[in-house]
Amino acid sequence: MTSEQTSIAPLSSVDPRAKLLVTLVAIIALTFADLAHLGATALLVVALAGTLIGLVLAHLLGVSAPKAVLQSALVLPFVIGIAVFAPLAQLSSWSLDAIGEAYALHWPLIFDILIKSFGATFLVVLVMRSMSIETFIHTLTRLKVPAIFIMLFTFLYRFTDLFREQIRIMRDAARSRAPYLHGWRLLAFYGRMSGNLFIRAYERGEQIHDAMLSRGYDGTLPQADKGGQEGRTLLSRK
Amino acid sequence: MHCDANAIEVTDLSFRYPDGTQALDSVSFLIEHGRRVALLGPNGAGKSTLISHLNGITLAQSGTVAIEDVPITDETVHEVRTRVGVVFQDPDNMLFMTNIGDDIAFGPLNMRLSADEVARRVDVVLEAMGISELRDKPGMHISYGQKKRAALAAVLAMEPAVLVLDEPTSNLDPRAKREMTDLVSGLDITLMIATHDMDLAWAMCDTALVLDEGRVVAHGPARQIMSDEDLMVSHGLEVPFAARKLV
Repeated sequence: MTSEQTSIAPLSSVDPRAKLLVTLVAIIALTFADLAHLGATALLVVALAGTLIGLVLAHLLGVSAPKAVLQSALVLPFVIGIAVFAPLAQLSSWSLDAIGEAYALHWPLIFDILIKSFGATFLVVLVMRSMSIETFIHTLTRLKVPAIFIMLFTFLYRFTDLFREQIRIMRDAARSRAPYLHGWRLLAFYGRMSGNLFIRAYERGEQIHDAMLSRGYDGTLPQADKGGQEGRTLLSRK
Repeated sequence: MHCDANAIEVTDLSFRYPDGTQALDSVSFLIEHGRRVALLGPNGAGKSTLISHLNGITLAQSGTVAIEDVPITDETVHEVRTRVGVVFQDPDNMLFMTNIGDDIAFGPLNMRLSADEVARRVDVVLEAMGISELRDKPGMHISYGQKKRAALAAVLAMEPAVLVLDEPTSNLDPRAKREMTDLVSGLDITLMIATHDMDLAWAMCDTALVLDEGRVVAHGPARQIMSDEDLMVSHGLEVPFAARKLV
């Protein structure tokens, strides 16, 4: 994720630790907010208020709101698949009447899940776009987050980066040979190439795994015992 | 390090990929400590497959690979990986941590060394490779030449007895290539260099091992083998420029 914070953003000078902690608190508050029992009007108000707060936060952090919204929207296909079936969890018996009654009574559950998922993702995207990945990892270290989690995040980030890199390579290759490929045709192209994309990313991941094995990686993640000394980086110190 | 032991001993090694490709076919050779071996051969000769056997990334289907007289098996593979360092061709595959310092520390930490020793090794190799200023930089955001050096540093920090380099100068500009050659030349270590750069092999290696279609087709003094135009050309290689001038 690319940092896009500018020095003129009102919250640019805020300590990254404060940003992460406030984000965490906001996500927890959002998670425990009882939206499932609100009516349609109240849900609409919540959604509008959330949108407004999000736009203000994006401005204060110097982050492009449309880009953050688009990036956060990536979570929706997965969440929608879960949310639409959420009222079924309240079923007392399996019959068409019972299903209809469950959706009539518990439809706010769908919006509860959607608002919370999208809202939490949006908050994470905002804070991540407001700082570099190096700053983020360094901040986690300063917050005394266990090194194992930081290392797992590092690996995850590396593999995500790998995936993005494969998409970029394939996109550039396609553009160079098909300059008029855009819109739905481009989307169809990506659809056809998605399998290939996964295979290429997997193979690249295998090469990285081999490089890890060759340096003694045995499935456990090593951590330096810093002996009480302040670690400037995750594994090495200076 | 066992100085009286052979650095690498490969005996009757064969390997077939699941698609049926016979990558290695009864490969046998012996490398003594301190040798600088050029691993030569056309594309598809089996060089990369052989390299992946040398520190147990791939285990032998038949035959044996021994490092300093220790055969590579499931039981010994972790120990062997501390003795044989492999620098893969693409440095991007080797730099997966947040910054170069952490990438270099990765190997020594896997050796369960103390934090002080890890830090010492990181400092030493960063200094030796001339990349101290890259310590806090992510591997993704440095030049290709710097990545190559960082990948080499990451392996040297493990202080291996045998260093295997896969195309160490590929895709480097002339200056970076010269710098990499100087760095590798200065190492007092058993070296195996897989390369298509015949001039590099001529300049740096005292022994040549030529593979073709998974078989060893020549093994001996580098200059003698690399000057043999018939041998080189028949296996998709060429005589180094320096050797041509001698003729």
